[in-house]
Amino acid sequence: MTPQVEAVREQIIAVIPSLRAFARALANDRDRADDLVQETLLKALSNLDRFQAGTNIRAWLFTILRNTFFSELRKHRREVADVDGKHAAQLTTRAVQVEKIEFHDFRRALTRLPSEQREALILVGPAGFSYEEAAGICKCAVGTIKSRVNRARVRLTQMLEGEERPSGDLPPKPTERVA
Amino acid sequence: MSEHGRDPTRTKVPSPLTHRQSSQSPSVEEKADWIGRQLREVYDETVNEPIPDRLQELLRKLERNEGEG
Repeated sequence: MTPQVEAVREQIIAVIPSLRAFARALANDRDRADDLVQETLLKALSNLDRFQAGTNIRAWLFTILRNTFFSELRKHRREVADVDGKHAAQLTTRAVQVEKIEFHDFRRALTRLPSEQREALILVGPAGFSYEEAAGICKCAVGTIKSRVNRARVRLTQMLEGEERPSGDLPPKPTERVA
Repeated sequence: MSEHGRDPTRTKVPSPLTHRQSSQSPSVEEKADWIGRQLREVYDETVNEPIPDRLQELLRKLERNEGEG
């Protein structure tokens, strides 16, 4: 291993914790998330020669991970659609209908977002990428990232406020007695 | 007399010019950004977990293979 490759390898290792966090947010499942990280690491390490020195290694790894996730998701969606198109349509409808989430149950609300919106939120939020970097990772326009983030925030707010009913919400009326 | 021979330690006094104000306090927007904070909490929870054995195992294997090659 050349010193350069070794240096890149060390940088890759340093990114693993945030890769895991990103993967967890995408996959909503600990084991699936670590599968994703594992695949990402294997792909990255076997393509080290393609990594261009000076480019952002975090962005490179995040790109590999999200591409892996979304290509699996597309494959899965196709399979479901192939078996029973109606079934897939029903699944989507149901997901949209589930809107009211327990107040403050942020995590659950987050899992209900479309993956693309969740991804955008994480990338420009805790993962610390700029809108431009996030657009590069997702191979889309900066405006697309912005609108995904906005829609995600609106949707989260709606879901989280859905359960927070005003305290004076139609108290049961005492039976009125007619004198 | 006991301290006589000792060179008094010269402590560096921070210059008022280089002395930074604590700059990294969260902005008002950040404080107000409840969703942002929740996201960070969820994210950091995983970031702070120890790297699971199977990933460490993978890294060790790769290290061995590449070390030989």
